[in-house]
Amino acid sequence: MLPENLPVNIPYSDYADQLVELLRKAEMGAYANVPKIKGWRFDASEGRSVTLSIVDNKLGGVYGPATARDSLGGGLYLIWEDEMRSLASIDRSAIPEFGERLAEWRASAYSDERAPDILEPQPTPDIAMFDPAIMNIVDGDITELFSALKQGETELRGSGVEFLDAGASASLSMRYLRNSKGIDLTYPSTMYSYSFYADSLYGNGYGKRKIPPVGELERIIEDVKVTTKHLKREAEFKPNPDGCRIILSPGVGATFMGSYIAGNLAGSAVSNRQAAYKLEDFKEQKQVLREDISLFIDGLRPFEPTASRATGEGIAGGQSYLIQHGKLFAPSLDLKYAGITGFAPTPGGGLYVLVDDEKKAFKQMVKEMEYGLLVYSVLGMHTQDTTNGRFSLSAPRSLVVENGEIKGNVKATISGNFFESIIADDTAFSWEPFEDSPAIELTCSVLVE
Amino acid sequence: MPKKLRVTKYDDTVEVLLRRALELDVYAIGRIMDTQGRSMTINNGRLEGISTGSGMGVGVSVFTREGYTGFASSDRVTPESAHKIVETAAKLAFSSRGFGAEPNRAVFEIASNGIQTVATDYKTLTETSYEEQVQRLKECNEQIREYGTNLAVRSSHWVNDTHWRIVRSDGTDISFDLPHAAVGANITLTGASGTAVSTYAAVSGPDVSVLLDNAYSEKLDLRARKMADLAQKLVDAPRVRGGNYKLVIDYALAKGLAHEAFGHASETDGMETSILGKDGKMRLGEQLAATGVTITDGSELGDYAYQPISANGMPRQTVEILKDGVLRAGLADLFSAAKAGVPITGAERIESYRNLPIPRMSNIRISVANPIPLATRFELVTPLELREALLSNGLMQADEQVLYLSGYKGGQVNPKDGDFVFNCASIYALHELENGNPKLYQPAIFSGKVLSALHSILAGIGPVLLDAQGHCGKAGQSVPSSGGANSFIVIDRNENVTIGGD
Repeated sequence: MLPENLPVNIPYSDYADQLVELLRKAEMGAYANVPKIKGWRFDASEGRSVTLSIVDNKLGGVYGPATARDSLGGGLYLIWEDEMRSLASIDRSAIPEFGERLAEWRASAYSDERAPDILEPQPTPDIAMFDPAIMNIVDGDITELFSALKQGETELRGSGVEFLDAGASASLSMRYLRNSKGIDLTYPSTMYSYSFYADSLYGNGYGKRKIPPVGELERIIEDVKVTTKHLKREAEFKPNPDGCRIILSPGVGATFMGSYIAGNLAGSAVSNRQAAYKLEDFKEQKQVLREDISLFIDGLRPFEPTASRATGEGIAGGQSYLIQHGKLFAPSLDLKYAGITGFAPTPGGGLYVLVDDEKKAFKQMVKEMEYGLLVYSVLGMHTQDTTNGRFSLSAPRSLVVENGEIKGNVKATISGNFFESIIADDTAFSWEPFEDSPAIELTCSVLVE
Repeated sequence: MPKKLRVTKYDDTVEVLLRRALELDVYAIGRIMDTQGRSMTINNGRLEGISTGSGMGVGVSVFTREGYTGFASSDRVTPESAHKIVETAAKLAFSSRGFGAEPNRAVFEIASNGIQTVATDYKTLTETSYEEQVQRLKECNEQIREYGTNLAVRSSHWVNDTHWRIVRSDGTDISFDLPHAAVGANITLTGASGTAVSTYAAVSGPDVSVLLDNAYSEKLDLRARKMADLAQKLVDAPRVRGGNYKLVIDYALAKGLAHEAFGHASETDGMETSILGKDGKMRLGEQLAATGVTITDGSELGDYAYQPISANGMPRQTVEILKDGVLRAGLADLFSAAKAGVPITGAERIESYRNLPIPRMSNIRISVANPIPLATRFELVTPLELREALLSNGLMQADEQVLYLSGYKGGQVNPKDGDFVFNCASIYALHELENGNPKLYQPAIFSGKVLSALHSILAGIGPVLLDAQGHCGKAGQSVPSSGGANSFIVIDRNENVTIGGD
């Protein structure tokens, strides 16, 4: 059912209604070549996006032209009357070619005694995810995207940036979540983003479900300007062979937490002994982080990209701990692995790090550093074996900090074990006002290239 | 017999797309995609799921006579949709002139590539039995779990059959298929201390034969056995001391070096900032690697990254980028070739109809002249045998520190400053024998400067192998990539090539 009070020009098709009708027919046995289906669900999104880019200083050139894209796609899950299951992606052709698709879905059906049933409807939170001010842009008036890029280009190139890459985009999407037990969720959401990347050294940007507040563009441009200048200055660093203090900037810290901690919380990996944490560890609430650190799922933050009314399976968006006060609380679980492990399914939302009583500002942490590196980027994270905590990474954008003062850039490699670092007493956290993740200060081995 | 391509049914859409472009006085390149895929996972003996997918869509780039461009796409492949997206793209192209966009008229200077169909005869998904796939994947999974105690094994298999039709306002109308498939096994072992280690083995090819044919099965089995063994040994392996070493890398890592460290820098869309460019032109004729080192990129039939025709409808050429260490050519698309001072090589690839074509590699390989022969099959070469090959050919002194890096786990590069980084699955110190064998260390990051690494290549060992498979994520678009090298490449110690560590 379509929510009330939406702009009249919002794109909305009857795709979901048609697909529901066809699936209902399949439930009634209208397709003689396949058995009846006894349960189904689908999650589809229909939308439009517009983009404009600067590639190597060229605005709207052949590698970054103004674009407009329309799309519809999603996923489908079927339970047949003989308990076989089917999983498939769906597109617009699933309606006109439904008979053929149904036969293909049946051909691919498989038996899985642990597969979940269709979820009963549950109340879903009403979170702000739609900004009508983005509609005009998505409808083709890209002047605002152009203006943002032009302002960034003028200011950054004027400040000595030699080569600029940048992009701006706006999108609108309608989500259709339906199942055979009555879930009927339809709602629009929007996204607006821009980013600037200077001289292949440093980038920053904005990306939320609403138009940015006044001053945000200027703040981002200033940050790129200042940090790029620091990174262009070369410095020297003498690593201590017994270990060096480094600060992982909020973005890099989030990458570490996501890969090494959140990556090992996936229910399938935990249940199948393919993660650092075992199922028994959760049952025993094993301490894996310091007591002051928690990992929290939150789908209720308005206009955040992580805002979620429900997962694709219909689990309502909400809030839940995965690690609470350093103890394993629950793996991240879909319906299947919730059933297998006995824990509750995980609500839809993004993963956030919480640190008790830690209010220190990121800038203050840098000021207090005696001698170390402030790491702005790492290369090779996707190549690490995150199941054992070990890391060995190139850190080509690392600012030397001496007595709180930034000296300039060195290219370093950093190595250590993040599982050990994250529980160490001298590991510290700090916050940047516009970032969701904390910066992390820790000790590890450093080699300067 | 070549397969019938599904994209041939869209004649009406093509006709409207090109006619509307003519009416609006713009040049159009239309790209129709029709894709089908299937994937399945077996986790510790249980079927986790089978997923099927299909999709289609059309994207169109238009160019005004002045060379201003716009792009629009839709998942509706119909005449009505084609009419609409050409209009939208034209509107964006005309409006971009007002924004001060940079025009590019290269598209008006190429000749038509005519009407062609380039179809393979590999198995389609309708000819591929689900039961056979599941049964065989289960057998593979069971077999690998027997290669150690308490191994957790997740086996994945996917087959994709994508058909493309590229049409242009100059009469070009080319249809082709890009089939690719793979089987992989993720092997995890948790040691007595609670420390877990994960390793990965895979084979790739054009269709379900990667799972069902004996040649592929045998190769996967040998690789998985080696990786299962490695996982068990790595649990307690120490960390290597970081620094600069003489190195031996296997062909999969050498593919990483060719791809990350050199291939991206040779793509002409980035020549204004690439280390292989000077004032926007390629540094053709310059000695950029050791004599005897040749780097070639080209599409291979049956390969995971097969791409015979570019996303702009140009035939893809096999390019000797570097010949005997001298830079000879670039991977060039029609928009940046002239500016970079090289011929068009049809290097454009895209992930989806929604994307814009950019120059990309397909299968890239390093070959070194006069390689040292190696009789043993690659999968069976031991670190000790490699050490002996180095010693007997004067590539290593008995007391010289040499590390052997084995197994490619991915990498990253910045073509603008030539920094590359990639990771291996294991490190063996060939100079440090323990119980008669080179000592095993944990994997560590391998980083450095592209040109320094290429200048330091000393030798190739064994035949050139081309099936190191992966995915490339340039500009946010993931496309299959592959390549290789001589079975092993020897790189001299260099202060600009570093192994991370303590």
